[in-house]
Amino acid sequence: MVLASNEDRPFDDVDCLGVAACKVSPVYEGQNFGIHVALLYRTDGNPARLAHLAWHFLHHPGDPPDARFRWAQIPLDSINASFVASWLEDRWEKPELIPYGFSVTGDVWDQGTDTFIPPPCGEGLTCATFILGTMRHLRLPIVQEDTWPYNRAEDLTWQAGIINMLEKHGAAADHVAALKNNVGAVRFRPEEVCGAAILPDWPITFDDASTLAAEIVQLIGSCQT
Amino acid sequence: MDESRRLNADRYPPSLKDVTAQSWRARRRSTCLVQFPLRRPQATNKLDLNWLALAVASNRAKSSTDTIKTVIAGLNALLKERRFKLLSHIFSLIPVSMISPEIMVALLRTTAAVNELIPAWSSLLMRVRVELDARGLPSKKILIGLI
Repeated sequence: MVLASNEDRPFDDVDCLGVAACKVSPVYEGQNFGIHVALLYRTDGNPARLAHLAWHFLHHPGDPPDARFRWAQIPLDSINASFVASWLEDRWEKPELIPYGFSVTGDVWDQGTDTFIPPPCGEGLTCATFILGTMRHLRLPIVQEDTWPYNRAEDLTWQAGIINMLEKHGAAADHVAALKNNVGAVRFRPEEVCGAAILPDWPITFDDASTLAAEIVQLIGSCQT
Repeated sequence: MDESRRLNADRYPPSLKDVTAQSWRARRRSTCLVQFPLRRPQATNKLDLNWLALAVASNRAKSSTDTIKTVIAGLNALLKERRFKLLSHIFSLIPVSMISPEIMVALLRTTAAVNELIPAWSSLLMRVRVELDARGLPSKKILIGLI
């Protein structure tokens, strides 16, 4: 099985760095369910934790993983994996104000303070690009970004759904207005990033990631929670 | 450490040279070919370079995540103060044969975004690559994204 539950394999079995995904509410009408993705990490003497962007300004740098998540080991060598886990652990109690958005330009973490760099209005991250941006900051590119397709019909619908949700949840009007101009930005789906993270020999192309992504969608779809 | 400083240890915190020398002695190395300078290349705020001593003194085969975190924090403190010249000095002198692969990776990845401002960064990368190869480790795989 591509992703294991905590019952199948406890989260604390993660060797420094893994990836975890769970089922979430649909974003737009007609979507059966959504998928959320997070980094799972563990350092010496500490329990496994999740680092993820849950929603607009909801960055969770060190959540305990709950039973909804399914996970897999990231097949990075142990040297780099322990470095990334240490980097994540160093900020597990320091949530950042990260806006939700469809794209962000340049590095997302400041070199020196390692704090989040607030992007221009209307830009931000998703749960998937949070992972890509963090790993890119550490010079560990998971995916070959230029192989991802633009303007997939389902992505446009999803982006419109996100804008609706942001409006309903009271996101700043200028952020939402600027975000509307960004509809059509390339979307890295959570299942694609999850799939790419599990594959060896980064950076992973879209074709390779999407093959495993289909399995992940099927698996997460079959989960009760 | 000389005698007067030993007697006044509370008043005179150990210099980088003292700290690293103590660490190296603790590792029972018979020779020490590299010495860090007593004079700081740039005179500014008081610096905590204990992370460097820890990096050099830690297990050569593998470092704990606590040690890696300390090294990341130490590097970030220098980056925050834009002490690129000092970083370059450290990078040019750090004995890669005495540090763990985790520390090598931490040194390079934490500073990679500003590597053009650290003249010795590229030479450290090359020295790390040679050292990893010498230890029989897959340098190309470990240094992915850096080379």
